[in-house]
Amino acid sequence: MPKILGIDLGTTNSCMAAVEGGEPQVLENKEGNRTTPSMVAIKQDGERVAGQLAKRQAVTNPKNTIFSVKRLIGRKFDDPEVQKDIELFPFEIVQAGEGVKIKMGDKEYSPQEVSAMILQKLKADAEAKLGEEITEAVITVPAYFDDSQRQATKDAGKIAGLEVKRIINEPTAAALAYGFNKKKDQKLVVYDLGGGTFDVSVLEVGDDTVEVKSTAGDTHLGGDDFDQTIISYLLSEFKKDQGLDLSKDEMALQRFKEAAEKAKHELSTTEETEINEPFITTDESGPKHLNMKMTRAKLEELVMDLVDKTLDPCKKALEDASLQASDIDEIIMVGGQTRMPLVQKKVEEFFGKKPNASVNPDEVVATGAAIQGGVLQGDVKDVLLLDVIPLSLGIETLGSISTKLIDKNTTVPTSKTQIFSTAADNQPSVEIHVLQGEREMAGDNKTLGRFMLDGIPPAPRGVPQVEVSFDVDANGILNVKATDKATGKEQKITITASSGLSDEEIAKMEEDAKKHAVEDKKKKEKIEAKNTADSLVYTAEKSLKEGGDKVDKKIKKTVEDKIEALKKVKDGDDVETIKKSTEELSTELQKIGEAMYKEQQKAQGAAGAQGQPGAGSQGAPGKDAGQASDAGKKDETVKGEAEEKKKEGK
Amino acid sequence: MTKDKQDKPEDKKKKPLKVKRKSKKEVETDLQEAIEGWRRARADYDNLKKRVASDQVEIIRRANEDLVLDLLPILDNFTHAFTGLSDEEKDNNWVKGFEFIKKQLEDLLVKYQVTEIKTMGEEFDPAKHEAISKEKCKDGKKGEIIKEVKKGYVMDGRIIRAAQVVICQ
Repeated sequence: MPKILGIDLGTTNSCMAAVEGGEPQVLENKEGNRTTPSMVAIKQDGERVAGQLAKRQAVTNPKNTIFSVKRLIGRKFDDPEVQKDIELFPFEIVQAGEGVKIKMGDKEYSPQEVSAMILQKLKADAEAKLGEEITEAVITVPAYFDDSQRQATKDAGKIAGLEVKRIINEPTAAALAYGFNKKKDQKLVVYDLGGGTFDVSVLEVGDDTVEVKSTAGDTHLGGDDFDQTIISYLLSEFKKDQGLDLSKDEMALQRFKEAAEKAKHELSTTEETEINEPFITTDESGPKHLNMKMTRAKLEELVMDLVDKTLDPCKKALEDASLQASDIDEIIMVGGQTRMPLVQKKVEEFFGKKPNASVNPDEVVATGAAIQGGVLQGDVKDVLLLDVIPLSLGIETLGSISTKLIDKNTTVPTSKTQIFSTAADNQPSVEIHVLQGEREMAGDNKTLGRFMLDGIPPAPRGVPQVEVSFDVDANGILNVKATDKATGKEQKITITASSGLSDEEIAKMEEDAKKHAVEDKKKKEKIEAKNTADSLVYTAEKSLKEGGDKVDKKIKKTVEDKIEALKKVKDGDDVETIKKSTEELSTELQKIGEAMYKEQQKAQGAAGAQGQPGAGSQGAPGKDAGQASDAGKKDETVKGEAEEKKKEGK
Repeated sequence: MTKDKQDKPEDKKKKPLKVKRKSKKEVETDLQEAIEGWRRARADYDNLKKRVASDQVEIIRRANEDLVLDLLPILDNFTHAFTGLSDEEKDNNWVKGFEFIKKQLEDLLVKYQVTEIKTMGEEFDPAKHEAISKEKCKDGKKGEIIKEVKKGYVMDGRIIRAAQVVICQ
């Protein structure tokens, strides 16, 4: 299904987004940027460029580089705004009927056509990114746009080959991005401080609509003014310091601009930054460096007036909506300049409430437009709600440990299979104890059910293979099945969703798990150390029994001593001691292995290479076979199946 | 209120009568929808897998690019430092030492396939050049680059930073 592109067609920059996999995603342009300058140009050679490329060549070609066309779209030539802007624009604007046309190259274009060139660039880049054709779009406009401006924007879309499914207000789009359109009667303020314009809107959420109650702003106030203030300050400081005026030196000025922008960005997150532009110029006395520290306090002092200038429109917008600051439920920040902590602080002081700034303020409008597009598309049956399991599912294993098979937050339907084994020699049955929860110990989790799989043929511990599979269907119903691989015997249990937990219970269990995480981990570690020790004692005794006669008496004696030592400590509480003794025994045991291996090679001679039974198989059977005395004792604690194969391998 | 309460039991009694078994056609439609949904889900998943794979390559590329972009200003300043040196200064061993350090940085970029964008004497192309200003010039052609303000770089065939230039008016 073709996607509907959400487009924030801005005065300075534009941004586009589309719903992908149910989530709005901002799409990068061909140059790899998430926003695109709203600029178009016709180069000397007649080639048309848009976006970043148009911006890069602007100074070389000012008469044919069009920017801020949004200030002209859908307006009449004698509109005071147009008359004001004509003086500021380096390109030529002519009257065409009642409206305006812009001269670019040797032709005249309507603002719609110029906007369409930007839209075409966005469309092409979105198509390249998504790998599919885009034919439909939702485009945003300022809330104060009148019918003619909206119609002109729609026409621009049409010229660009886009069917504009809807024109929505920028503040409404921002509210959509935050999902604030759902609570009826909620009153919102959208504070939008962009690159070159400032808008503030008061919105009220109705039944199915978001109504714009009032708007106010300043069409020539934005982040660019902030940058200019900082540049002027840096230039004056440099002059004070070095006695040189670099405001006419294009090359140096470029570096001042970049340094100012960098400082502004950095001071949004740090209290102090260093502006370091070495060798910025050279005079008779040698090289000169721009090196100074700038604090956030200094920056705030510089731009305080600019920020204060935004508060009058805020007041006016509230008045026009007949509301008090305290009536406002949510404030949304839009535009890159709202990242500045001072702006956020001033807005918070004015409205007495913390503004929302969690969605990237450069992208929030486009994101909202994409969501609107998704909603329009959603009329077609396409939405499939996917559920996740709220808590991990697992079974109890040796030492009352809870071994998870399916982790929490896994999307259902899903299934998982794992092989377990027995904990004791000739164990005839295993008990499958199905658990739900995040705690390490079985007893701390919720029991969902239990069943026995019996009739396992007599075999040493670790040899039988019991396959346990968990399957959760789309309705959250869990099927657990245990199969003895040798006999094919199986047992199963179905746990319906009703035996699950309420939301409160889930929340409580999650909290418990967090609270006990450390002690649980310690407990688990201890049991695992003991399990490893048990297993090693078993292996060692078996090895001595089978191969003891082939081994040097001295080695045999040492191993026996080490076994006794480990047996003494393994049921204690000191994990480190258990681990140490285990390690010592393991080292000694390797010597027996070596000795036996040599014997075997001697016996088999040249054919020795093939003569290593079991070496390539699971490992567990050979390691664990035989010896029952020790394992027998554990039967009470061992609820069923023994160590997981995976863990054994470690 | 009371009326509501009276109505309800009746409703309940009536309801079971209204329950109709789905017709064969309805069941077939349901099935068709389910199969269609399943196919779409499978396709979505398959696409996601491909996307994740390509995203991973992209993330690594992006991470390298970010690092290189942050390193470039250091090299820029080395370049600034060595422009306008007198011959005498150029012979100074300290200066030479620093030039070797600059060389190390340049070699590092080469190792990561970062190459400089040509500027001087080239025709201005906004795809890789950013014009800072234009100046009158005697021998250059109109639109030709006559000064390089900041070097531009290409990494793996992608322009990571356009060169800042001054062009002939």
